[in-house]
Amino acid sequence: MLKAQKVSVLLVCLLVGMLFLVSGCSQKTNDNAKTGDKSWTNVEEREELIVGMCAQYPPFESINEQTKQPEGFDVDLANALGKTLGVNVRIVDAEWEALIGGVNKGDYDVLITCMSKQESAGSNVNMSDAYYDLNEIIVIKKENTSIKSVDDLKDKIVGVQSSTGAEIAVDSLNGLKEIKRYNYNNDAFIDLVNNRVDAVVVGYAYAASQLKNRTDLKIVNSPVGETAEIVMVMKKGNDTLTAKLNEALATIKTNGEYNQAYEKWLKL
Amino acid sequence: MELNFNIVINNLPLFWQATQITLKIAVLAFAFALLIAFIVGVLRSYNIPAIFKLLLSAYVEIFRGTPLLIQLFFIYYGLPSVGIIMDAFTAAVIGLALNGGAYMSESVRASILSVSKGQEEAAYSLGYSKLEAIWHIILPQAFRVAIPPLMNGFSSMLKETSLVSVISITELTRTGNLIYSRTLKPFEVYLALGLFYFIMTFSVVLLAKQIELKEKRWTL
Amino acid sequence: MDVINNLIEIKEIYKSFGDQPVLRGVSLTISAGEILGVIGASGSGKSTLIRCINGLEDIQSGEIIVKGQYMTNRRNSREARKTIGMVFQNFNLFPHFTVLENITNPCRVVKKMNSKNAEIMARTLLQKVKLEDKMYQYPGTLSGGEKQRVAIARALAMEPEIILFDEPTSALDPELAFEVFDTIKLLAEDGLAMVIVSHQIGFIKNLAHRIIFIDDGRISCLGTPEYILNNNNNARLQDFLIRLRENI
Repeated sequence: MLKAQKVSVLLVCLLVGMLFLVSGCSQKTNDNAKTGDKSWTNVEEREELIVGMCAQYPPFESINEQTKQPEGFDVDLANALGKTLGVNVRIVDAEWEALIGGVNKGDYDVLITCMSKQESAGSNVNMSDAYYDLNEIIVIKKENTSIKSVDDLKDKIVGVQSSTGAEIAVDSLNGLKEIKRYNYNNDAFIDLVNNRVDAVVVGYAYAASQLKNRTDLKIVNSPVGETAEIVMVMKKGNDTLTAKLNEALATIKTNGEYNQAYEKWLKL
Repeated sequence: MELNFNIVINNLPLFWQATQITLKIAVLAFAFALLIAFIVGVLRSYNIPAIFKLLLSAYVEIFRGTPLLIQLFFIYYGLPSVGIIMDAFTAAVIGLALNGGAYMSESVRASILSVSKGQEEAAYSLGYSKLEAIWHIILPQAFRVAIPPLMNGFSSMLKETSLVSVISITELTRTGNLIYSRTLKPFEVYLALGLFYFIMTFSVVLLAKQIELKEKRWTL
Repeated sequence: MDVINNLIEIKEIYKSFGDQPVLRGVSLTISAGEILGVIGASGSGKSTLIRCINGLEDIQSGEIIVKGQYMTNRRNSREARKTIGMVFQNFNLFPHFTVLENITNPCRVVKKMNSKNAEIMARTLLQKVKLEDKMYQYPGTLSGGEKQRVAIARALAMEPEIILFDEPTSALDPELAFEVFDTIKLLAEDGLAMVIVSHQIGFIKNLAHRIIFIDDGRISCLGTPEYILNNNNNARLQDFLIRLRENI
């Protein structure tokens, strides 16, 4: 009897404790939401914009083999934005999975890391205007003349890397003969070369960086599936910073700096 | 955490389609593996020219000593470099059959060696040729010994078909992954996936029991 | 040399297992219808001798001639085996066949008989060894004596001119040995030639026309049962016989 009582007391204590913890958590978020937005003022005062990215996605961002520094379209874009805003830019390379957590914690002011609206939608964050429309596109053999657009994929065998945006895009197509799913894009390209698939659908970025030196394959720049809108990502409620960055983005799109970066990294 | 098994129900047609592919590959590969195991196992149990012996044991050791995954990669992605191009289904069946055949040939060999020497001698003394003795006397007795390991071989093969997704075949496991990535419901999807595999392998176990029971009619 | 009478001729055969010589120059002639007893200590080479006759063991030198045919290679020794039946110490029945199938299968496979004739043959022979009531059983359910009688019927089904018995009763209890002896006697009455390797002197002496005593890989003594058992002056043979009687 005594034992049972002790156990139940213990259980009640545990439950009460858990309740406190839970309420404590929600209290904290509420507090944050109520604080005034100083996100832009903070950047301005320290004269430095801290940009988080995962530098493993050329040509948007990758680590240069020689300099060991991040480079790519997003890096150039960040620097152009910083110039326009009159602040320095510090780029921090981090794990992809840690980026959202880091920006929420305040480790970075903004993520510029080829993150799509769709990818960040679930995370309850601020998003800038889209700075790039990223498509899934078609890769075929150089000598293939029959596939000129996404409509020509009808009755064809299409290869795709599984668990990617490209796979979702291909799954949305109707009338394909077969979808062959690969662990790696490179496997799909081997099958393309060996005529075991007629076309491979990949992200534009991958195609742009990987197919530059290949003479046997070519890109059909016809978007497959939904376009992914690439945005900058900030902590929820950092509205002043978001507004400033949108302004700066508009500026560099007109003054040619955006185009310069595009020509350098993304043009096929 | 809210569980939603409607995801499984809704995707049953997809699962069923993939199960058929998995079964088709497993059954075909097993049939060929059995044939390979039978020929290699018998040849390796008897005196054959040294060069054949060497070749056969090289085959068995290589396929048992390397991962099936690499064998599949090699057959599908590697062989085209020397002009041998086949479709993924053929490559999967060949890969699984060669791999399973190597393992199962050892079971066949062991079961042949388990039949007493006297059986062979009795057959010879009655005037059976070597082949007649193997076919009528040795193999039927070896068969009973070989049933459990061969049925294990089939179970393994069923499970190993999940590896052929690496050569772009959308079989059961790949389909499960696909449904998972669409629904983000790992508990339900992988539980169902496991269940499908279990139903298949357990049917094999039941079948094996049935065959074993029939073979129990005689004793030594 | 009378080819018809000399069923089996053995000339100077040598056999060794590795470095260990087992038969060291054995010569012997067995005529049609003759019953030959073979005695000797364990390891003296008597079992090896009949296994060589039947081609189950290769010989290093010498000649074995069956009905005028030299057994030199696998093909003609297989041919010769059709003349020679063999009954083993451990029966070596086929456990996966019923008693009936143990006889019908070799009839169909080796003698190319059709199933019907094979079954008629098998039934007749099982009647002869008094086992027709067990023909649908598997050998595993039979007693040792019954197994050996099936083995004899199976050997007879090949219609041999001679049957080699390799210690046919050594694996049996004495009371079961008698039923096997009775069966062998039946064959003797039919005039079938036999070579019987056995320690059962009492049985052999009544049946055999001649007995050979093998000692250390050679035929040490050869003669009628009367001569072998009573009138010889071979010291090794007398030793052997004394030890045999003591053991029984």
